[in-house]
Amino acid sequence: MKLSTAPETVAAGIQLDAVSRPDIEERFQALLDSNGGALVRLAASYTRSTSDRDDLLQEIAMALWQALPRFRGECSERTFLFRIAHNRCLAHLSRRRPLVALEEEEIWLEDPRPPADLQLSEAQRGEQLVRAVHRLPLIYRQVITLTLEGLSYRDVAQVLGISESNVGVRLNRARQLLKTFIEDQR
Amino acid sequence: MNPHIEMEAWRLLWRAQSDGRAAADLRERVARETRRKKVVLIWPVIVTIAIGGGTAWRANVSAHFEDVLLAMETWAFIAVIWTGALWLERGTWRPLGDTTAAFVDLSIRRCQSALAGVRFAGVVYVVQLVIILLWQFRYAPSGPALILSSWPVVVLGWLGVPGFAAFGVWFSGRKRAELRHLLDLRRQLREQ
Repeated sequence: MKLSTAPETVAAGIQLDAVSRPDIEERFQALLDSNGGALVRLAASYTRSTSDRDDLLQEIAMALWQALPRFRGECSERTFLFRIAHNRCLAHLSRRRPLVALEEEEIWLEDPRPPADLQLSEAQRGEQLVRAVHRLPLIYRQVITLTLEGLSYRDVAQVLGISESNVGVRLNRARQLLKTFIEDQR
Repeated sequence: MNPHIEMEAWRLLWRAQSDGRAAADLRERVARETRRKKVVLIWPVIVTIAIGGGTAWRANVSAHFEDVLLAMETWAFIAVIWTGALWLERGTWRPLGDTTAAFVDLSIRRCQSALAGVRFAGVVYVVQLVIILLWQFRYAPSGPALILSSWPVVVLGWLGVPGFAAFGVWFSGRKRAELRHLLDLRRQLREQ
């Protein structure tokens, strides 16, 4: 299977734009409409501020726009979209700060520890989950964010280019770490 | 807790975390960015045509030896720049982005290409500056003081060299940091 997922030459994009632009525009908009929320969550899990997240979202959308004409249906469009998005997230991370530091970083500035005896609301538990996802090492963060978006092992394997058994191993480890990180906040 | 139930509970919490408005105007932003990139792509072609065409036209009209020589030097310079740029870009235009690892490899090649590009641009700049100075000393009817204060030397030499050097240092530092992060990421991926 050969798919190009990064924004290659603009020249190629321009050429292809001219060939099938209305169809590409329609598919592009449909993908954004049906996956906008997922893209926002994905971008937010790789960034530390709203403006960074919005920049990354634009990069992802731009990469999708340039790569979509070369999509030949080897996998679902959603898988294709997530592959592009994950690659852009990696590129974004590599430009921002050392990747190793992501294991230890605390992303959000507000106090992550609500009083232990307080019954947590759903929103608070959601925030705890997001903070915990941010703390995951990259390879685990990749599988967990895709799984949380409802992708199957097969889809995750296709997005990341790894075997399904490897997805299972990484997901199991990610789940354990996530649980630990959530408990750390209590 | 059962892992499947736990994962389902997390999935519900995760999906509740979304600011849908953030993706609302993406299409317009992409359209704007596409227009900007087209301009960026066309710009080197326009500069090539303007400078190369200008010198060629002048040589054709005046037919003076030095104008012909200048046009030849300009076109040789343009050819070197385009050849060098295309050479440095090889292998970075068509990514094998099937996997995360392939994308990281491609990103590493792009970073290395960018770093080589800075060195190449530096050499080309210095060579061109030397040629301009030699040209001025050979053909300009004035002394060294006037030559060193002439506008091409002021713009390309006194202002251009520090500006170019500062940009090169800043850009190289940024790309080196990016390259370090990517190499580290590749190491992490290979360890798995």
